[in-house]
Amino acid sequence: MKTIALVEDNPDNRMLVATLLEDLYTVREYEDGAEAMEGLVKEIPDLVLLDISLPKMSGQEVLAAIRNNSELKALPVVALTAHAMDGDREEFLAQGFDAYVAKPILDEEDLFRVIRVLLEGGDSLA
Amino acid sequence: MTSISKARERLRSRYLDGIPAKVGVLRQALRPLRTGTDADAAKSIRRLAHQISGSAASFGFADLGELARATEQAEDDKLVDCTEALSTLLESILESHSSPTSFILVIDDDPAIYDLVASSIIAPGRVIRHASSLAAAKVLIDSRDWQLILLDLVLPDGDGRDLLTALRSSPRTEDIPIVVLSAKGSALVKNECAAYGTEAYMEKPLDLEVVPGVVSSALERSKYLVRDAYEDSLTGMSNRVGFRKVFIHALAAARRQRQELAVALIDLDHFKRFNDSFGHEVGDRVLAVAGKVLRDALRDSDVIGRWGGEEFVVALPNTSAQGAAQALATVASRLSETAIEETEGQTITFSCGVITMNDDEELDQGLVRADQLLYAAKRNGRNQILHTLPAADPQKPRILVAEDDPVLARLILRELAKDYEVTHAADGEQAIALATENTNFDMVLLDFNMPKVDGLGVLKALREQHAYKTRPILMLTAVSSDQIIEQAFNAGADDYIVKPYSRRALLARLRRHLLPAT
Repeated sequence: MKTIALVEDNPDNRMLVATLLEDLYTVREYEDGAEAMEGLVKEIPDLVLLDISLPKMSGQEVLAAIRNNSELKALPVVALTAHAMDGDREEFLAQGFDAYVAKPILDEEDLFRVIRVLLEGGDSLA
Repeated sequence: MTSISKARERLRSRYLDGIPAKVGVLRQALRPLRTGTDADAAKSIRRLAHQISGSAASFGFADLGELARATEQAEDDKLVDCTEALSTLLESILESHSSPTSFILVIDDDPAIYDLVASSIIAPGRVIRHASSLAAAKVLIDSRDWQLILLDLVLPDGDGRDLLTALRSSPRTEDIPIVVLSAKGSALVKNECAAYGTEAYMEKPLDLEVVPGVVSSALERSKYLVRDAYEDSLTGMSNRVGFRKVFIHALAAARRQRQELAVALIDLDHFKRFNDSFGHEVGDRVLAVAGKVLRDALRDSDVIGRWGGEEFVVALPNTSAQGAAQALATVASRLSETAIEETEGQTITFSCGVITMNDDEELDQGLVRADQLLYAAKRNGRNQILHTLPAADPQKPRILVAEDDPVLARLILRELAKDYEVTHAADGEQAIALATENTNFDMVLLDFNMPKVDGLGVLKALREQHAYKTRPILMLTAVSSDQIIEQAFNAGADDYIVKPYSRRALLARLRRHLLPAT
């Protein structure tokens, strides 16, 4: 079973995503960026789901830290964002995220499709 | 695919499981905010509102998310209202997504008490409602069946004990477990509540550690009540509700056939000692044995019930008080011969008061008279059956007590029995008749609210009689309103006593008014 790291400060959202994924993936949960960076280097996951609006370290800062770490830099990182504007999408991809999923997650198919593509290759996400 | 839809199912139930904790946080934070500003409380509300607003929609609760956002952004002066609404919405989401098993009514005018209680007892399956006045409570009580009522005694539109009386006198509500919440700590009030069969008495300020346990155990009992609505599981005989049901028919038959109907109230002596010395299981055995001996020794036509605690009640059709006393003497001797191994040879005895029902008298009034005899038997050394009161002690002042509430009447009579010769009137009309027939009462206590003639009416009528022109007459009132008190004084009352009263204060009051006479 592949491992997904979930970085999200809202406990309800953590529960939501973990519950959706737990049958198919091993989910490791982190509350903030610092905790995540510490955990990611210890056990490198197969994919990172990263909330954008985190306290202390923002999602972009966490992404930068991942990309600057030689062991982690190739990890697929998906932005979880409440800013569901179409323009944002391009911006997030431009910032170096591999994909993005808008909250609220009303239709989990989108989340699953994104994860499947990034982990197994296949359809383009563009 | 299947695992995804299963995950969706799990999501909802996990979110619902988390609601009690959220309500707990919100209601706890509301308490300090209701009375002033509290930066920490406001911060914890906004933090949780932020969490909810960022996630509720994903779980399919978009409205909740909206309300949470509004709460997070609310001005300080709107924060209490928003939080209240948010918590209520969470509570109703929990209710509508879990099949309710227990409906709990909190009757208290202080919203902080509701916050506190609701935050500590909310759980899936529990529906908690709030009434802040007697009037609101009555509407809610009529609207459905309740498994538990938490009742404050001091309410803006009256005394909580009036509701207690009303609940206990309707078959539909008389066995709802009731937990009394009150700052009023007098022993008499506690006894009074206990006499109404309340489940527990919690003093304010409430102990948060204690509340959930009390509520759970009361709900447990309520489940058991549903199963055995009419039967006492320990003795297998009728419980209070069951007895009343059968008694109504026995009374109607006796009146139709113009026959006497005797009623005996039985209380096991020193029952507490059995429990204390040998444990509750042995205490329960004693009750079961006493019930069996009663059943075996009496006729099939006699109606037997467990009234509560170690108290039994028996109705004997076509029997005089004297005949009933004889039948019960047989029970007493058989019971004293029945050995229970675990009690190390200690015999079981009881005290008993026997009456025959008067015309137009209800069971409760008959029981007040039987209790007076029972209590006299206890005072006289226990292990005896009385069907007439012992000769009046001429040294003791004579008091007429007019109180229509049977539970309260029993209590007052017990409180006064040691120091006074007490006569009881169950309504205003009877009070006037008794006072007129026997003019040597040294003092009269009148309840304000009574059927037929109210306390004020009795007072006016007595003051017109020569014998009672200057006799001390005291009014008992549940509400200390200036208007009522003024009315009482204008009509010639010597004093008034506001219920609840402590036993010592009551007796001191009476002594003061009797002083000139003695």
